[in-house]
Amino acid sequence: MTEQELDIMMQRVLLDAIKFDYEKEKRTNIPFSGTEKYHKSIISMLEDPLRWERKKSGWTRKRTLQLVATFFLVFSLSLGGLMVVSPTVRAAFIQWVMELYETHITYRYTGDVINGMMPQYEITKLPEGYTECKEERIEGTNYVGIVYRSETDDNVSPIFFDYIYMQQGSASDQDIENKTILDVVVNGMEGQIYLSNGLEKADSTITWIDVENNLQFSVDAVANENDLLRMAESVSLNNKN
Amino acid sequence: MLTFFLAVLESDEDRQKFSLIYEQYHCRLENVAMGILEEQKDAEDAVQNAFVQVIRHFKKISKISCEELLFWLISIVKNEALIILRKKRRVVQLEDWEGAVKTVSDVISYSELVDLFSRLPDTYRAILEMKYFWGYTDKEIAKKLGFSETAVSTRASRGRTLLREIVEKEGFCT
Repeated sequence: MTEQELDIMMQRVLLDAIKFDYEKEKRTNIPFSGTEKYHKSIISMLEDPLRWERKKSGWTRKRTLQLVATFFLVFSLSLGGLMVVSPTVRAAFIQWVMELYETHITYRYTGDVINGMMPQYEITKLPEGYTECKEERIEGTNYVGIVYRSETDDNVSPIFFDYIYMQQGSASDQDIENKTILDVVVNGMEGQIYLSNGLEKADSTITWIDVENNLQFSVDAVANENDLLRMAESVSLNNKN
Repeated sequence: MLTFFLAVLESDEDRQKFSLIYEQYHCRLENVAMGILEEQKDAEDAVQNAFVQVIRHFKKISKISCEELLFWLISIVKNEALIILRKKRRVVQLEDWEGAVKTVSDVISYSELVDLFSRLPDTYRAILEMKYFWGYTDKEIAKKLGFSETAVSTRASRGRTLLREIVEKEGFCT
């Protein structure tokens, strides 16, 4: 039997063992009623599974979307000026639009498609004890996601760092519920901090846009404004790779 | 990877499919979680964590046949319950691998093989299921279950060797 056949056999045996258990096991008599909080969470999950999962796991995830060729009502990056642009005008002058919703902001990208390997960036000034968890690294054609975890303490929150090419057909979301939005400048590039409003263990995010390289960067961490900015400013190309 | 799976649940069709899965199976999953954890809050956590996994693996789950889906979902919720249980217990329970496999020489049919695997210690089964159903690495499983990576590798390897021995002895084929 080949290794692959053994894998298939293992899957089959394990699944049949679950069936076997399920058929012989008595169902529990302890009723499951579900608290109000649980039911609310489930309603939220059914309304928007991805958003619910995102909130549960704390990731600011990137997603690939098909752009709808229509007019967008957008806010400029500084959140100052309201303007309406057509896709043609948008593509000619800007590489992204921000769509402001009640609960989140979507950054929708309109830049050119870039081929080739993604550049390798890293945070060079991490809090003490944090290192990259290589197994959790995500490398897509236009996106890189890196997770840094504490080597010494499993209970402290991880730091998520990601960047994405702002190319046509891609978008990313940022939750704004219970967040204060602050404008910042990271190494001369405009960005925002989405600062969690006093919730313990809640992630805050700093995001900034590198127009020259057509990239949007984000760092999510349980950290204050200064620490987020320090990490963001330390992001640089990793020349080792 | 996350970049790609997120695209899956974007459509109304997928969301509807996800809702149907929830409607059809949540009672049984809640019952399984309650049976293992016996506390309402823990069972709620296990079921919610299980649905987080369902969302993350939705592309794969949406392709599983209706006849088998319940058992894949039970595997997820049982393992989430086991993770919660392991975090709560201060005393580590002994895993009786030797006791579970002492009848290995008696296995001559496929149903006996299944019976033998159903009697493996929970942690062994959880490790094997996470590995063979969802493709988790040893390190990922170690983090989830609170084992060392070596402990996960050893258990996975024992399970695989056991299956190989029986399959080769009895000539079962896929």
